[in-house]
Amino acid sequence: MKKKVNWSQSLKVIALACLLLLTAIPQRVGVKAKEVYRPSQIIVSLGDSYASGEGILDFYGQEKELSKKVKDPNWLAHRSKKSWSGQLRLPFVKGKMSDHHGKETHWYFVASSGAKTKHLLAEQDKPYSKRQNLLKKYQDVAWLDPQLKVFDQLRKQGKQADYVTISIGGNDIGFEEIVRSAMGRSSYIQPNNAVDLIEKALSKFEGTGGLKEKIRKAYKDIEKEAGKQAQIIVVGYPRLLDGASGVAGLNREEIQAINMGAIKLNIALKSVVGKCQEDKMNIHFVDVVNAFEGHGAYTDQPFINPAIFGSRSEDLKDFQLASDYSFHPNEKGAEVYTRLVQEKINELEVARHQEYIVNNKWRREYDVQVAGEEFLEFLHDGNVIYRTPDYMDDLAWGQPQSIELKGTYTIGSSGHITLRFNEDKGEPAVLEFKRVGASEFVLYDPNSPSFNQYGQYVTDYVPIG
Amino acid sequence: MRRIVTLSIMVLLLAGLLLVAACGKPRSLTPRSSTPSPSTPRPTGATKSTQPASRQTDSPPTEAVAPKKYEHVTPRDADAYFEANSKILSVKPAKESDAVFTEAEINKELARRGFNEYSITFEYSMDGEYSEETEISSSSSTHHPVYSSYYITGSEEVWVILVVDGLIHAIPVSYNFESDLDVQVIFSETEAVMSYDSATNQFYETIPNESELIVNIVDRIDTDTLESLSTEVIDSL
Repeated sequence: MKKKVNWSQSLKVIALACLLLLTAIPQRVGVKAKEVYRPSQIIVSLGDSYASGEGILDFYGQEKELSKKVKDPNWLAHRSKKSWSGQLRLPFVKGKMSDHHGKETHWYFVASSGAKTKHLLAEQDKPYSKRQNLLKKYQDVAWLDPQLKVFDQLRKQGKQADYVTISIGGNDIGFEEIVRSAMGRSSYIQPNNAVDLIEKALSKFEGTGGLKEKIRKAYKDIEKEAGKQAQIIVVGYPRLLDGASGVAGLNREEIQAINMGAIKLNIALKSVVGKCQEDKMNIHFVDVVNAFEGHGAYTDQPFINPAIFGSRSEDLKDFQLASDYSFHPNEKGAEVYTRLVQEKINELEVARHQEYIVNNKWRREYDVQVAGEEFLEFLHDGNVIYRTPDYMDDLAWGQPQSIELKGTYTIGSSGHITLRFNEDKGEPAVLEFKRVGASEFVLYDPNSPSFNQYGQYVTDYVPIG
Repeated sequence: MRRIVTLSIMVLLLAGLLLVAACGKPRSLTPRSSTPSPSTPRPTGATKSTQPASRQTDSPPTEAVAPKKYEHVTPRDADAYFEANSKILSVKPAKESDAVFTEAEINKELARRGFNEYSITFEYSMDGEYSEETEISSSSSTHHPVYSSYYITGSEEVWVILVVDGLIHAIPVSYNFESDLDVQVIFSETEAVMSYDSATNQFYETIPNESELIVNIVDRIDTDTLESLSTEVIDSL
């Protein structure tokens, strides 16, 4: 009985073979054996309260006894366990950045509430005054390391940052102070007080020693310390009262003035980032204003905390007019920041990946079909990872799933591996394909496949027909 | 003839290439954020921008494209405001007032009322010049049109104390922010409220309309009075 020829299957195999042949040729001719793709591994999170996660409990270190937490930089800086920077992911790093907090592996979190541009290079003072009981009170000024000192730490560990995220500049013009001052006033008793506050702040943007100059220097300092390979992602500020129709004590002009302060600040940041890009810096601006539209404090669905009067449990002082939690993004606001910054990272990762493909430095991409689904291949920590083409989009939002696939493979004479996903031909060996995300699974290879003589991990697939 | 045809084909190819390049849709990374905000504040008289929405996010803005509407905040016209929202009792230039406290005097005055735990600050000179909030010196003889301090009661209610042209007012800040009322509530020792407008450097003595400001009169503004004014008590007034 004649076997029926599956033309479609054959054509696919031929096409794949041609593709492999074509892509293999330049490798053999021009590429050095050990020139491999270095996946992004490290994010450094710098900045002020909008980066530290001020106002979103819990803070790192808050579970400690008072005597210990007043010495804990994480608590003093109000670095939140739910900060947006901790929710970021890198394609080759398992889990969120916050899963690696304190391990000095993938995430270095040094943002600090109240930080100004000068605190990138200078110590930041943190006065605290907390009473433990009637007899015992802790009152002193603690000092946090200059934020850019984190790069010394990285250098000592022989590491480099792939991404640096930062939100800075708001405190240099007293952005939060403006709002706090305005909320404690009466627009009837002082009809133009908030306007004066804003005008004073706006006057600090231009000129020598102005905000723009400070920010530009800050970005240059970051590049100098982090290295030119680092992608610097500058994050803007939301309009705090966007969509708020009425807030007791603030008139329409004052609400407008406060919102305008944020806009003006963002325009300054964008402008400086634009100029740095002209200087060939790897720097990018993420604007959050539109995503917060209609979700300011005092709206029906706020992404920003309202004014919180008096001191709250984790404030550094027992007595203050308003909690430091006031007018900072809440958890929903942090989710928005996460989404927008993650989109930027994904975009940069795709661009970086494509650059390697274009340069043909290391061939590492194949189209593989498993049960009709397409996957791309990546390599990470000795494991081969397969991801769907829309993996980058799913990254931030996909819920972890887990499935197991079994298959067999054969090893050719030059380390050439043939995977067969639904056939039992060749040398039988069980491989585990663990699906770890909505669009990703990892091949755990017990035989530790080695690179061939060209520094390549060459695979050959027989797709499911 | 063949050269002409060849040239024509080349021109057509080039044109086609340019057309393809022109039609190529640039990758939009944040399409949802390219829409301009409808709630963006626009000062009176500003015309609506005819600039395409995409221009706002496609490239990093430079100083040249910064919209002029963000350059300055329009101050409130105090004359028109008080005319429309109050009964004006008097208007006088701040520099001509003899009721204004010196820094040393206000320190003593507020201390007599029990307000000695928190700092007293000023922001304006008698010329109406604004400076950042500065703490007073208890020995200074310098005058300022407005002084402010605050007080936190035992039940953590926050009050701001404002002294304008010698008249003292207390604002229950936390109450106002948590209240469902559309207008601010303040406490005063008189029916009249003293306001200061920095734009004209004038004091306005007025009786506000209830739709603009609710004034509760108390005999004396001091710490004892404020301690007695809980949220429930204010609600019942």
